[in-house]
Amino acid sequence: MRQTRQGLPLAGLICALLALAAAPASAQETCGTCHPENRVSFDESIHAVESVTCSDCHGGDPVSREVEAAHSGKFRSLSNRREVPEMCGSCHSELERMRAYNLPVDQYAIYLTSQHGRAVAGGETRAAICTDCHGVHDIRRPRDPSSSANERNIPATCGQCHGDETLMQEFDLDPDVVTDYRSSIHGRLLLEEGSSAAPNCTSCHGVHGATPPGVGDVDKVCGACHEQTRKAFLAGPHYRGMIDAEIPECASCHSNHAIKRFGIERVESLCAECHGEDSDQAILGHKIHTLIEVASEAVAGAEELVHRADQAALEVEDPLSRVEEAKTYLTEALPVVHTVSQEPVEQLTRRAQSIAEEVEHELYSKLDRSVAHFGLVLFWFYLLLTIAILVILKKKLQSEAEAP
Amino acid sequence: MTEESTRDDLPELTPGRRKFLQWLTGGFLSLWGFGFLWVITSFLKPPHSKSSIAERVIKVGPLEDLPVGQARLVRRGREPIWVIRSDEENLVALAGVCTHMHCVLDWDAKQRSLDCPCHEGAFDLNGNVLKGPPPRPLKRYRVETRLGEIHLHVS
Amino acid sequence: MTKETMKEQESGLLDWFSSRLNLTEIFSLLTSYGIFHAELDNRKKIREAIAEAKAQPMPSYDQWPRVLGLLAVVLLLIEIVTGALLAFYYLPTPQTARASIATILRDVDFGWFVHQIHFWGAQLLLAVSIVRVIRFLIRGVYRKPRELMWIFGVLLLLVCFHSDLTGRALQMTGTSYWSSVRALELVGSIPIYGSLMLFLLGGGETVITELTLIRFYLLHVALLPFGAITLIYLHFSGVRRLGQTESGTQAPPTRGGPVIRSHLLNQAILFTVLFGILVSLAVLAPVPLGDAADPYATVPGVGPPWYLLAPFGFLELTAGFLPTWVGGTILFLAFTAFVLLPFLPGFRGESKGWLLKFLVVAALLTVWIFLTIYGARVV
Repeated sequence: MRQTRQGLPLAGLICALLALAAAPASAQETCGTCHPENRVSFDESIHAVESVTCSDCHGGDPVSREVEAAHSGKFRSLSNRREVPEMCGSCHSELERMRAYNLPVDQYAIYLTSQHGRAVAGGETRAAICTDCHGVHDIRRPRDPSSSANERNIPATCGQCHGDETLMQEFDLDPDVVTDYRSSIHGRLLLEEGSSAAPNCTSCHGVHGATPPGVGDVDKVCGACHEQTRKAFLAGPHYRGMIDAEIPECASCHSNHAIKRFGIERVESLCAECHGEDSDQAILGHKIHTLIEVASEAVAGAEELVHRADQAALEVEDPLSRVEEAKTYLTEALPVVHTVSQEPVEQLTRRAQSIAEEVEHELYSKLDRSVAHFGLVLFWFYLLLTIAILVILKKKLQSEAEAP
Repeated sequence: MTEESTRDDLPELTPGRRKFLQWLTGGFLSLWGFGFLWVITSFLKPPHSKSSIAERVIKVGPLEDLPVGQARLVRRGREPIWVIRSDEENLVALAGVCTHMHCVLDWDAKQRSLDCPCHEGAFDLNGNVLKGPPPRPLKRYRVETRLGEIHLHVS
Repeated sequence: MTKETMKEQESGLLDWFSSRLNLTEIFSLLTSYGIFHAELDNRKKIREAIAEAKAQPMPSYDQWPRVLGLLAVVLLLIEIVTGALLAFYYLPTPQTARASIATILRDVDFGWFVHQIHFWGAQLLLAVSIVRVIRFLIRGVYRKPRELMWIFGVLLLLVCFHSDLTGRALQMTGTSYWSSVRALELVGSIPIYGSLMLFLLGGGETVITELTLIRFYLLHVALLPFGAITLIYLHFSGVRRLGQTESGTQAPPTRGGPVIRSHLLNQAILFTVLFGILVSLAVLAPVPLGDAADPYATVPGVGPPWYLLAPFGFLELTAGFLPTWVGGTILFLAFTAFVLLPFLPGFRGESKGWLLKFLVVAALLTVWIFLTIYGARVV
């Protein structure tokens, strides 16, 4: 009993010391006493995990319980939006700090070159600053799916401002870009199918240096993914012509945000839109369309025949494979259409068509039933002769029966 | 059994011709029997097919016909398979179609990669995506050499 | 060698066997299946027995509509022969079934021919059995003393249905597989009987697995054919006891010798024509192989086989206001009543007059056809 009583105060002291040592540095901060929401929201951020404290951004005296004292010294409320990028940049431009996280340190400099950065520098405080996209206290890593800067959330994040009609009107910007994007093949792939390969806003406009790509850059931006298409486009006459005439390259046919899957049948009307109904170019478009159409029909016909052959239990492994090769040539031909010349497209469609014809020829001869039908005719000839003999024998029997 | 009466019915036939006619009829009718026998025996003759009924293993050919660094496309329905001789001992079998748009891949002996002719996708010998739009790596198949012949296991 | 000596030799051979085996008894097996239909005295030697039979009055099966039974026998024989041939190559597992059929069709000489004959023979056998039961209904082949012949006829039809059903499942193609699954579901809706059948067929499951398929296979190649052979044997046994005419007081034809030979010739002509029809169907209307079955992908628009459409339609029709097990019970009772028709109060005893009979048959057929059409539409 005695020993215990003596031991109690000592144990209490040790516990208190241990608790102090174990608690994170921010736990000593008293900011949360008056700003509990901010504290809670901050605790979810990556900054809290990496031991960034309130005072690292806001200054002041974080351990003071006095309102006055706590907000004294170098305290900044950061309610002036112009201060924010610089403040974030103070750490995020520091190579020593960022190296361990493998984060680039030129983001702030890039931001200053962007439309947003320049507007803010020019005094337009409604332009986007770091916190508009990354969040204020609850900043998460972009790879965190709940981050507003995650690739799947970026269209919504950008849409906060760029989908706001009254705001965009003031800047003479199109407020439909986000809706257009959502309806596009890219938006559907990203938002509905969750394909990480599909581009979001930043894939084309840049991340921190967000600026619309201008004429001469569009093909490079699109070509980052659509390599083959760009190669064909650069090889054809459209590239130079469009740059010279200051027509945005890919976007003038495919539009910019509302990019839809493009059926080859659109080619014909598309050529006429710029070049006129009866122009040579419209005729060329018609030719290219026909080439692909005819080849596709031939391949579809071959595929149908392969199915029929399969139903008739013929060996179809090889022909089926060859149809697949023919389809590959057809898929290959679609990017090549961007050369807007007949020769390279025709090379591919001709190959597809010749495979289809080979397969059809081979299967037609195997599916041919005329030998079996001829056999059936012979069979019936023999059958009828047999019946005739049997009938004669029966007649003979009857006459025998009647004779006596 | 009633020879007299039939002879009465057909008086114009001599016995020799009658016999000949009977033979002819009998022979003609017995062709049916030979026909059935022929059909049945040919049916029972086992077919010489190159693979078993539930095909699990494909014989691709002798190993010596496939030089090191070369590849062969095994045409097998919608999913052809590339069999690649990666070095003296080892063979690799990979799905022959791109995981992006199902284009049939080409073997690039120089780069030792499978290239997609449609959208510049490429895969390495492990089936991993090297570049381009393919969302998934290629499926691998088991392949081995038995008595100098390449056996490809498909399932 | 003269004809006389040849005959002597033949008869010598016949006598040789005849004194060692009861050839009469063996030969009389043919009479059990309507091929040769005079009654033979099994105690006598074959030559003597046939000579005696020739002198007796004989019924004849070779004229419409009595030929239906004979046709059923021949078709059954064709099914057994072609089925036995197919069994040389068919592998009854879900993985190999379709592939082995493809092998038969593709690689085996005359494989397609045997397969198609087997298929079309089965369809003709079904048709013949149905027409036969309808004929029995119209002609009153259920009244005393022919109650058993009616039951045998209906049961033979049932056996044919089951053979077709199991045969479909054995193909393991998309449509055949789902058609069998629908049929199993239908059977399962009947209380007690259904669960018993499901237990026997698939161990309680309606999905076809290796174990289910082997049961179907065994039924198809052994039990059902045995049942069919037995039922036909019993039927002809009844005919030999009771004679052919429905009234039972028949004045049989009394002609001897040539009648038998004429009967055999008639049969030969009939079989030749039948064979011609079968071969033509096999060549001109071959059934396609079908796509491989996938138990996880329902093929849309596939209902139960055509002969089960009427009960299927009935269940669908009553699904709104009757629980399935009640509908199943009604179906079961209706079918039992149909089998036991000769013992129902209205159908016992003497003929009631053609109008009533006609009305009953017409009503039954109308209901069946209506339900079939309804079932086909809801599929």
